[in-house]
Amino acid sequence: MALIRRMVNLFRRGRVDGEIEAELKSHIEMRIEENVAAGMTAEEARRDAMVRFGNHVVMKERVAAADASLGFGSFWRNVRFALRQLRRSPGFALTAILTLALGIGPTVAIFSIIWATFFAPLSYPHPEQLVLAWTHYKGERSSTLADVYAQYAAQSRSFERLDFESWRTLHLTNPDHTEDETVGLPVTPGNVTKTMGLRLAMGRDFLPDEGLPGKDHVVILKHKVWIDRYHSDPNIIGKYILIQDQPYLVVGVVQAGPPDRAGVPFMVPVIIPPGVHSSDFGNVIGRLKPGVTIAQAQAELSLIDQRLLAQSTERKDPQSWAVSVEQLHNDWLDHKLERNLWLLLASVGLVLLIACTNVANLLLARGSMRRQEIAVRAALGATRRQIFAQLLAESLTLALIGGAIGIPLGWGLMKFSLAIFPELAIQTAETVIEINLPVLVFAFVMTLIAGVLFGCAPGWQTARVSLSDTLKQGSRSVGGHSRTPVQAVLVTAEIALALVLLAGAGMAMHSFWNLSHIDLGFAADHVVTGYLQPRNTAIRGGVAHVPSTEEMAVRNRELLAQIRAVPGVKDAALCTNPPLHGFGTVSLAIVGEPYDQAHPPIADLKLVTPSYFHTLGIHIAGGRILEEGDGLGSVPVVVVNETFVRRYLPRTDPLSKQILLGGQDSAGHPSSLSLQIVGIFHDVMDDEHVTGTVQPEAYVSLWQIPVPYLSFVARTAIDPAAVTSALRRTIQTDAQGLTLNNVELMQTVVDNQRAGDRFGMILFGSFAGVALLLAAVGIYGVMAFWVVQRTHEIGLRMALGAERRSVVFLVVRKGMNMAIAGIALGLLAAAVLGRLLHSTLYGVGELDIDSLVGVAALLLGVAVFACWLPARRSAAIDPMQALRNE
Amino acid sequence: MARNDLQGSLDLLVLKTLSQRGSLHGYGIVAHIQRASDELLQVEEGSIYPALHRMEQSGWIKSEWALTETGRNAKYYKLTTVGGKQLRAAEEGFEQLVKGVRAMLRYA
Repeated sequence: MALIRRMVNLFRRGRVDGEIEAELKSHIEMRIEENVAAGMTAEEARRDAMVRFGNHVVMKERVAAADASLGFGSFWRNVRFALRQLRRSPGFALTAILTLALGIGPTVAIFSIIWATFFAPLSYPHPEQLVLAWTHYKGERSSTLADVYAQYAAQSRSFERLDFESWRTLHLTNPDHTEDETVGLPVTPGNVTKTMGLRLAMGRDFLPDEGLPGKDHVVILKHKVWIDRYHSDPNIIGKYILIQDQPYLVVGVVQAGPPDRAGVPFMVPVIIPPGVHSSDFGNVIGRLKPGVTIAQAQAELSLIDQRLLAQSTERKDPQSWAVSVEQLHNDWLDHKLERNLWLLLASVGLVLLIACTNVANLLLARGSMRRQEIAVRAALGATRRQIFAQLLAESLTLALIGGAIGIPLGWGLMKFSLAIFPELAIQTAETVIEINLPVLVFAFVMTLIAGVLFGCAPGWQTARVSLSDTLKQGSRSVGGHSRTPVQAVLVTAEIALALVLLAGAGMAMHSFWNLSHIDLGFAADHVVTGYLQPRNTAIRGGVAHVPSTEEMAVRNRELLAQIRAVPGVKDAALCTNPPLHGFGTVSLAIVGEPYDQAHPPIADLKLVTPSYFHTLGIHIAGGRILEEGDGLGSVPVVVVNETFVRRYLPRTDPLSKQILLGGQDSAGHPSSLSLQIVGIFHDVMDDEHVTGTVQPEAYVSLWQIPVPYLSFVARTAIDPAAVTSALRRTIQTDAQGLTLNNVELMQTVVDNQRAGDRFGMILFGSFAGVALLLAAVGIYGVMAFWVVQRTHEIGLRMALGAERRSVVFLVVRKGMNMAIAGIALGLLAAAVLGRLLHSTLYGVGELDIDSLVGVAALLLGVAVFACWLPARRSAAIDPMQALRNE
Repeated sequence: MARNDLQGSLDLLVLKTLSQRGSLHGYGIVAHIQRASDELLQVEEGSIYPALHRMEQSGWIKSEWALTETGRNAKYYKLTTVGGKQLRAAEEGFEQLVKGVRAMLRYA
């Protein structure tokens, strides 16, 4: 291989130099010899030989260069030549480069997000050793019981360390006592520095025995909290802070970095000794010993778990349980977002493809302009391969410049996406979205592929120029006959691709419009919500004191009265969960209705105070709402939503029915409470994701089933944001020891629910916009070129009496042929796309006729305009001028 | 273009020489070209060497050191199969050029 030979030469430059010197010297000596033989004096012979030979030093350099030019030499020569060529046609170069930058930029932006979200290694030392052990119950992944963890930790040998991260919520009180709604994480000692490998900015990790009762009041702060809440206090180590109203000693501060980006702001120690019963659940996270595979670790834990199951009295159905060990990675992504990201990558890929098609078309057009030049170069001895290489170098140069502009553009787009959708940065939690080396490598490879993709076909076509034909034709640049079909195919493909993207964006917009006009079932404006949680719970040992039902009912009434008394609050209610905050599902039975033990009716059970309906503006569709009179002493009652009635009681009078919470046992006896249905309310969106679907729901009065864990909703007469601090003060100073958490305006919650859809819509929309622009430029370029090529023909037609109008029509019709073919193909592909997207969209059919018709009309309109511009110019052709010019 | 032109022709001449004479050193090639072209083609003698080395790197010719009849050490060049093909292509190209130029001269 020539390339390898040259590379080898680079490394033996010294020897090669000596050889060259010897070769040149022998040449000169042979010449001298011959000169002497011809009768010259030694001096004359020498001088003649030198003159004939030329500059010795220069020759030697040139020979050495020929030996070691590596092929890159010729490539760079080609690139330099390409740059000169491009500078000579700046319009073409600029269009091509900008088109490519528009294609590459979005690809880089989306890929940087994809990389950080799915592929980037987590920024911990040896992230490949970090694993999570999950408990599976009936195929569903869930957290692990502390007892089980303790056995894993005691018996397993696969792990360097195996830690437990509890899921308990801990409240941190600020130094100034203003807010205390931060949530902390109990972890086993050593988790911070040894397992996760985090470094401490100061202080130390937990000691091995910290976490045992009596020694567990120590805390490690994350860097951001130390800065934000403790104003970077350099003497924080050794100070006490209030957690759950108890003093905790600060022992360490984690160094700044990715851990600050998400998750909990502080850690406290917890130790779960084997054999001690605990009802805690949590994540089991471990660091594998070097050389141990994930499969081995999983096999070991499964074995331990099977032994535990055999002894367990709580976990009754052993075959339903399983263990899995999985690599620690970004695993908490919203599925919709995940799907959206991949769809976005596909769509920017399409944009790039459209950009490539555009540039290929430009190059084809340029190629036919340059046939003359190419033919001359071929005539002067350039081989077809050389010409092809030259043309390819030109397209690669274009691609590289386009990439060089596209990468910063992508960076900007990425920053912009994160700005309009900050959730994205949180979702990707432990990794930072950035333009890093892998992203740059991807961008570079994409650029090269793009360059080859759009450079090959035109390069080959142009290089295949027929010498004699072209030279004979002289300066006339006709001969586009063979090329126009290729261009037409490319433009058709481009329009089809653009239509697919537009259809995707159209469907996303349609879905978003539907979502934002969904009937929430309640009035979200002027509503504040928040969680109320008891704060005096010890970290270990669960709930210390469970108050009696009477006690709870009294407390809750007092609390509600206090919230109602806050100035600006019009009405308020207590509930287990506010709307759009999820629910608890229970199985039930309806008295007098058929009952299937395997598939009992289910409903989302919510406990609310009677004022809930009025506060949120929930409509009643039949019967009555819950009333203050429904108390501990009276008949237990329930109101159900319309979906409940539709699904379970479609043909009977629901108000005559009772439901049994918890269903029936196998003997047919009610297993729990019986509730009389007294009312039906209009469906309310309670799902954490606004999907438009509503589950059957049952609301029971909180006065009849009191619980200590509550939320509140309050309707305000004034701006709801203005009453939050007053609400906070009221609740915080309340003697019940409640802490206020997650105070939100209902309107913000509603907006956030739509954020994911908004994100998808905006990005899909903007990429589709780029695609539309590129498609318009593409069809415009081809038609403009076609008109220039046909100047002679059009002039002739006009000279023969064709009207301007019919000339415009001729050009537009030509363009429309391509546009309509492209749109037809695109519609077929869009129908397939609709089927793929269907599940992520709301209220949009698999074949979304509205958006398809809309985007097809839009594209057609743009195409007509893009054809009309060159058509108008063609009509302005002066026949005499056109004919004379030829 | 002019340089490429010269280079192209020089390549052709060298390849042709080697195809006719088998193995030959640089000086011998220069001497042969000068003799065969009746001293019409005068190139700087040294410029044959960059061309020879480039062609060797491209695999058109190969070289080995040997003794001349006068007992001097010299590098001998020989045509390869690839070089043979290249020669035919170059000859064709040159014919085309001549035809093209002739056609242009006639019509100009």
